[in-house]
Amino acid sequence: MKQDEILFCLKKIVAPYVQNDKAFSEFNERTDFLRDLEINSANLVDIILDVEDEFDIAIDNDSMDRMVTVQDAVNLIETKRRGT
Amino acid sequence: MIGNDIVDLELAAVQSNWRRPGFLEKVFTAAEVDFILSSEDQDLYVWMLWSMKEAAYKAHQRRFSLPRHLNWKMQECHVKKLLNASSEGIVSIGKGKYLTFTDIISNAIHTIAVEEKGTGIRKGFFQLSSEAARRHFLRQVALEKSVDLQALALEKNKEGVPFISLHDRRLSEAFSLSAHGRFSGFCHPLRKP
Repeated sequence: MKQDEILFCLKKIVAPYVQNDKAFSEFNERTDFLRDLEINSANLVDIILDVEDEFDIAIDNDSMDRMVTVQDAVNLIETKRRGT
Repeated sequence: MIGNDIVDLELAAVQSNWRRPGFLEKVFTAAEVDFILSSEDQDLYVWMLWSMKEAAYKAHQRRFSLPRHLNWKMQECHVKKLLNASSEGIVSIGKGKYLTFTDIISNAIHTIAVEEKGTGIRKGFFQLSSEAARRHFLRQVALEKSVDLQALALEKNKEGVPFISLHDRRLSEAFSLSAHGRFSGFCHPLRKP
């Protein structure tokens, strides 16, 4: 799976939780889930669970620790997929 | 250092389905899950523990200038006292310990976290948008410090922690604001006499 495919899937996962539509229209690797998209922190748990389902990976506590930006999430997904 | 967190319970009920498989396990320790599931009001206590963790993490983050982390299980809650409209607890984060004080009303939960007891804290929450709450808070600061309201601003550092600036000079980080749905909460230490 290429980076841009992961990015596309991720954008679809994140969409229902976004509270800042302007930042979402500029969705890119540097986008910060909390600061830019203003996602409610409890919904970050949903995003992590959705990512696990969509990409068929398990995200442990240490890995989700630093999932702050879209790039962090893409890196995490790539690493986990390579591992399986 | 201090932190606070507010949960609009009606919004939380539509925004988050904490009953979905995996949700509790991502956020809470086995003992916390037990506490929630054995309580008579699971929807209340799941968000009470959540707000304890968030408030304590905000205090911890300010204390050690940390970036935002997503590791809720690192924050272990112990509820010490549980009343109808309030509760007290301790949240441990690594070697850090924070005392938490939670106020509960029918449709909102507000928790503040402090490092130690005895420090005077002003806290509160109201039914105001985050914008209105920020203006209200700055007006209070302007009054207390006898400075011009127009010269005050709320900014955020690179970790996302807010601070107050006066004429573009950093004034204070010792406060915490939070907003969720219809509610906004705040806390800050009282000025020493």
